[in-house]
Amino acid sequence: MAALDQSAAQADSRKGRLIATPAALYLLLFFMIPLGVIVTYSFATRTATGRTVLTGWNLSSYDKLFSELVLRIVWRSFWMASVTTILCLLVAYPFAYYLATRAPKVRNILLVLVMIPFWTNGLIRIFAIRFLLGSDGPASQLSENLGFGTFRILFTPAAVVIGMVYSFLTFMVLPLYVAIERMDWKLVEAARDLYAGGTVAFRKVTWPLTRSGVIAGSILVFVPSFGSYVVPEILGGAKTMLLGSYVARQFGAARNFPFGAALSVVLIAVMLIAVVINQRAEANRA
Amino acid sequence: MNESANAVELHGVVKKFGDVIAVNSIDLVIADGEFFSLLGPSGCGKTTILRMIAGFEFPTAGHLAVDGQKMGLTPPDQRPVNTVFQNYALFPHMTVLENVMFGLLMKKVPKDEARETAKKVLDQVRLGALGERKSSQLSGGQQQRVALARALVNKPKVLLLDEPLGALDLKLRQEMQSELKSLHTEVGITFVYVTHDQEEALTMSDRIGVMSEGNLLQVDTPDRIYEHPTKRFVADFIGEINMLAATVADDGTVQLGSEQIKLDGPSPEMGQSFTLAIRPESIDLTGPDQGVELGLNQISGTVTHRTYFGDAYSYDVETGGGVLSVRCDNRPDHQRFNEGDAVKVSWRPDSSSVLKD
Repeated sequence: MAALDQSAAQADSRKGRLIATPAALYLLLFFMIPLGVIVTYSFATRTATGRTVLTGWNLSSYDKLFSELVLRIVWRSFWMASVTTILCLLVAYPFAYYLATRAPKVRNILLVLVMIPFWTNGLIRIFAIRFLLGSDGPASQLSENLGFGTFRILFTPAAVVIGMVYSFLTFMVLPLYVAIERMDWKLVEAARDLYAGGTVAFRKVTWPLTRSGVIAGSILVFVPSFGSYVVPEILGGAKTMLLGSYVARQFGAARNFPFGAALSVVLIAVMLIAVVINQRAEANRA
Repeated sequence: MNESANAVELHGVVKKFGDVIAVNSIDLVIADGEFFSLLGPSGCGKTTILRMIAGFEFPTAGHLAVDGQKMGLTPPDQRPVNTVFQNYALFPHMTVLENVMFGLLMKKVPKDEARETAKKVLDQVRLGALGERKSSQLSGGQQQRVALARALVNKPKVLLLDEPLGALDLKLRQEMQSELKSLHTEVGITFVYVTHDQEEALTMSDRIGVMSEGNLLQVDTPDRIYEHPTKRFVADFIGEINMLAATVADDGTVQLGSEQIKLDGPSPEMGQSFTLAIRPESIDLTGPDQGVELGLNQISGTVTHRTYFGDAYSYDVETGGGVLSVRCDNRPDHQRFNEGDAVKVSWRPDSSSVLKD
């Protein structure tokens, strides 16, 4: 009997491995191997002509990370990603709250509306924003008609933040929605019953109980914002170079593969740290 | 505080959800210090009444007072009541002690004082040692007691309990019943207890209100509710009962089928038909020739079915007034009858009830 159980368990685990094989192969081929290449390149040497030679391993690419220019770009990327994350949170939380407290039918319609922009090409959406924010675009004209005068927002950090908030808002809405939706509303009633006013009940119960959604959403917005490439390329001017564009430039115009690779490795490390922090926080709560 | 006020008063309270009438024009007065149960099947409106007292719902019509004060649209946090929720609703991100302290801190009690008070109440419910645990680390019975402590620590005017024992297994439920009852005596707070379990209501309550489909059908002490239901639903919902069609003849005698019987108390009007209700255990079963006490109703019949319950026998007896279910304790002196035996059934006129539909 025991032997039969054991062989059944083995068959189960064989079946499990078999099912996972395509995904595993895919990730190995298109994720793990390129990642290995990047890490290897980051220790390689760039010749004077811009070629990369895989001899004479060194850390000079990592040294360059601490140059003033790089630190300035990292700092700019960091605060713009932070502002984007905070704005997304401010916009998404009330909306997710509204969404989660609707009747199921209304909720599903609203969820589809949230997803629709996702089914449109991201590049087109960003160009639409560029048109919207242009100096004689609709936003500026509306402002002029309302008597606030025209404004020039395109090719400024503000335009980049607006574009990133727009691009990544869904990543904030969905985890928040899930967290709020699965919260037990009886707990809010319990807080109200124990003399907490509406605001205090939110602060003491709703907010802490939906914090997992806040953290997950913040990471999902912060990480792509921090390494964002398309949005700042289209909406930001030459003065608002962000990390994503800077990395792309190393592999492109500057032809400095080892340095670009080193930047990428650091970016990946930052993101991994963020994920670990999130998981620690989750584990502590459980 | 209002010394002479009733704990809770409902006057013509109606609650509609859209077109659905959840609570239909209810008048009810619950006295200070009373253990009052609202009993009924799920969806009968009992929880809605509790939620209106707590302030989670507001009446569509009528008004409601707690401790002599009209509640109107007063929000839950400004009412002198606390609730023990059905699945406890303990805050999962706080320790047991923090849960119990919550209400006190919200009322701006200094933190040290709140902690001391909370600890005392936790001791009272025998959870003093578990204050630092998270609520998820407790058993169902322990969570139940934390929920009680969290409400009682605030010394509310009225404690509202929404099926608090529903999630516990039978043995624990019975333990908690007596614990709740003694706690009620100890703290002297008015309890309003919502349940669909007749046994809970009968064993703990000072008075019971039986509800069905938004209506409050009968409000009375447990023994009156059980022994003298006034409505068909109340009789049927609680325990087992014989319900038989009877009429009052023009000469004032009461006819039960072909048999003539006596009622205690005022009879229905002459010429009217009504439902006579009598509990199986209120009926005696004797041999056909045995003498029966004077003044009892007695009808002869035949045993058609016998069921053994261990502690009792249940007989179905076919009589001229209909089939009666009779329950006899299985005592050593109990005379057993077999199917087909001729018997005599008898009961005191004051054991039966007249039901209105």
